[in-house]
Amino acid sequence: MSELSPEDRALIDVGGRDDAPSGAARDRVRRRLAVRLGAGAGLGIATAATKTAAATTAATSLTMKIVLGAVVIGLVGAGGAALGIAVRGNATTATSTSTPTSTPTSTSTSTSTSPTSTTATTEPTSPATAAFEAPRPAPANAPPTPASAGVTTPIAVATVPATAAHAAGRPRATAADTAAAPPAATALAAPAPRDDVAAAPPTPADALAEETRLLREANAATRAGDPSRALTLLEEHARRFPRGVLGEERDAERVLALCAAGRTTEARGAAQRFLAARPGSALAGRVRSSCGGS
Amino acid sequence: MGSPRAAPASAEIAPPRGEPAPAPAAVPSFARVYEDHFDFVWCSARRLGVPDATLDDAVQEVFVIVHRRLSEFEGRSSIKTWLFGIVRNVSREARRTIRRKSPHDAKGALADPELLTAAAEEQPDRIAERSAENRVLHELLERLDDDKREVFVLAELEQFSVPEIAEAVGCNVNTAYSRLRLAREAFAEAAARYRAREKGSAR
Repeated sequence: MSELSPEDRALIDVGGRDDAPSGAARDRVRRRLAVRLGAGAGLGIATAATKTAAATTAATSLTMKIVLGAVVIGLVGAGGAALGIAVRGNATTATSTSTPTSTPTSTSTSTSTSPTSTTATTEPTSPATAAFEAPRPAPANAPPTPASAGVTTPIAVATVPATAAHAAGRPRATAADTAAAPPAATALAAPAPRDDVAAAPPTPADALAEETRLLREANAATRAGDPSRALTLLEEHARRFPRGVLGEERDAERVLALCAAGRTTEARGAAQRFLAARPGSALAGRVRSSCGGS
Repeated sequence: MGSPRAAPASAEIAPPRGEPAPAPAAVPSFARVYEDHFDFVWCSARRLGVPDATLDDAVQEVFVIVHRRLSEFEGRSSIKTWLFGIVRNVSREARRTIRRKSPHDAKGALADPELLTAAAEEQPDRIAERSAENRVLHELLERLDDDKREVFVLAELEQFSVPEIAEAVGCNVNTAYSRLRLAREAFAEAAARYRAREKGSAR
């Protein structure tokens, strides 16, 4: 067979090296995959969050805030270093025993929380909303008491890959990961305590999960070519979480949704307000490059 | 604790870590595949001609498919040849989409105008990262048609054996040998022309 000349060989060897991805590219795609595939990707957020939450019962809700917040930052398309770390942690600890399936993952949050929602509030519109309908409690409501540890449990379970539970394989990756942290194993293995605390007001972690859900659905709607639904969801977020942790992401997403809806003038106004209020935002570049930034 | 559902989970904890049972070990976890093969998927997509502006989307698409179909991977082939088959399809589709130059026609994430904008936004950095040799290499690869380009990339840049190449691109071994020979000739010719042109313009 004809061989390449040494000159061509060298060109291939030297030139080929630069095709390698940067660490930033790897993390960027990982973030977007985590958003797109949801927790079921096992790329996840899920196990890492569970582990962290259990290992540090005191700081559980804060951890969830960081991890979930990062999901949404990734969702809008920038930043999110925290997720990169969380995800990397999981990737190195996850063993290869679970078998991802094509189970849709976008519903994992709502389905997993449904047991609590049945007793939680009146007139649940959807399982997920029901659980979070109550106003956000003050942070003082979330001391590291046994009760609040219990409250966080559904969240931890909710973010565990749906595939782990449904897969033909066994949910052992998660169980084994958390073996070193008995609280986590307990939380995952015994969802029963959730019933005891179902009537308790949602913790900040609950609220954040709901904020995340709204933004995620809004983002998906924009991508699916339904910006008016996205805008409705974003309005809902603004109404229910006027001081929400993810207000910045909401405002950025709104600019993009307005652009997608062809409402350029409004997009410009929203973009200007965003950039004036948050000039240093990680999302500023994204907003600036949208139709509202020109 | 005390819930009946606790029992299976704690039983699962019992076996020593890092020693999965033989059957599930054949199918690696999605996270593992991502960690181990992200670079391969990325490089392959790039070398098969996916433009920088849509590379993120294409690689993402590959892993979405991997996620969906991983359970079908039965270890008949090596994971890399299996992955390359997916990269190959996604890359061809991405190139077709670009050729059509009509992002609104096509379906799926690759054609999402917003994503294209986002990717384009980051593009200058990425181009700056690339050396002159890399740009020349890609220009030469562009001269090969898809069939030749695929076997060439696998053989010369990934050091796949010819039987592995045959499996990855789904042809028989003789065809793979023949394509590789033609691909090397075409590459060498394109390289020679390139050098001649460079010398010409330097004078």
